[in-house]
Amino acid sequence: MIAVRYTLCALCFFSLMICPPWVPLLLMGILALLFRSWEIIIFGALADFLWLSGGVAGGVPFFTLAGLILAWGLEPLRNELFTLTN
Amino acid sequence: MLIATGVVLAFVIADQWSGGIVRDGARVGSSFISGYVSSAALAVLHTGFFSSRRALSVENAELQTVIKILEERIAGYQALEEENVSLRSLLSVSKKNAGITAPIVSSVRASPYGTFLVGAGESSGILMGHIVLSSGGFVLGVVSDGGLTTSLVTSVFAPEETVRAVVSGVSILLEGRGGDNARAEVPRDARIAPGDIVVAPEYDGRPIGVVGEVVFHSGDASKTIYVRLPVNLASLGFVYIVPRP
Repeated sequence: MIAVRYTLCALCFFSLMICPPWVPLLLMGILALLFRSWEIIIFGALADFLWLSGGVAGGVPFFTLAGLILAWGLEPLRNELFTLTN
Repeated sequence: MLIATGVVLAFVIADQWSGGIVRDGARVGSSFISGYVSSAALAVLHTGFFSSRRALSVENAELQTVIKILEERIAGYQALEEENVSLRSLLSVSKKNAGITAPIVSSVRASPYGTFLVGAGESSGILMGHIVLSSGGFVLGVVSDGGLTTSLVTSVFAPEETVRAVVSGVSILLEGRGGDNARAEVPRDARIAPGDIVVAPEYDGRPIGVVGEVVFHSGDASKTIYVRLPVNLASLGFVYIVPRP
């Protein structure tokens, strides 16, 4: 499972720079559902540092918020899934 | 996750405090990665792996007559030639306007905010508000964030961007919809047809797009016009950046 996590993280990192925005968003969603992934918070902020003029504080940082919501907001659902699978 | 959130918060504060060092670093790194990825993708595509059978057979016949080293040199010359053609096409724009030519160093489709990166920054005299033009003289966007060696350009038709423009003598307010498209409402008696050029007074009367479609229902008080940029941003290698008048 750790290999899947690293692969998804690598894909998400590169897709932030070269793919349409829905691709990294989808990968962040998958990462958030499958793992207790702190990386998506970093990826979200990185996307806004790259593409939002003025950085994360330059406007509404959609990706940073998405990363935080996915990481923290999906915690109960993820815990429930882990309980079911284990 | 708590540590990651703290790290992100620290980066945001550091970025604001330093005047954009974090985002500038991230953009320079991204431009390098984008460059490597696009050159790798080109190399893979040039192998013919994704070509059709017919194209492959033609290519095979050609490849048999060419030595590999020579072929590599030809590819190198072709790349230089394409770059030369692209730069020559920008010459006509540069004769009319004083500015600089800069390469596009990022994907133009990756940004959720309708932005892209160009490989020139404050060290080349690029400042916020400078106008980015295509080889045909169309306004592509405005420099919205400057770094030392890269600049972030916000597309003229980025989502939620508005621009005052004139088409066929009618003043309109264009609302950007992303993907190089915009929309505007015009009076129902306005004579606007697909293909009409849209110009923007705030960009010194330069063209910003062409009317793609005019939608009108008999019961409506106004027409809706859809404007698009007649330039495929993804195919552009270079842009021309001029100061705002």
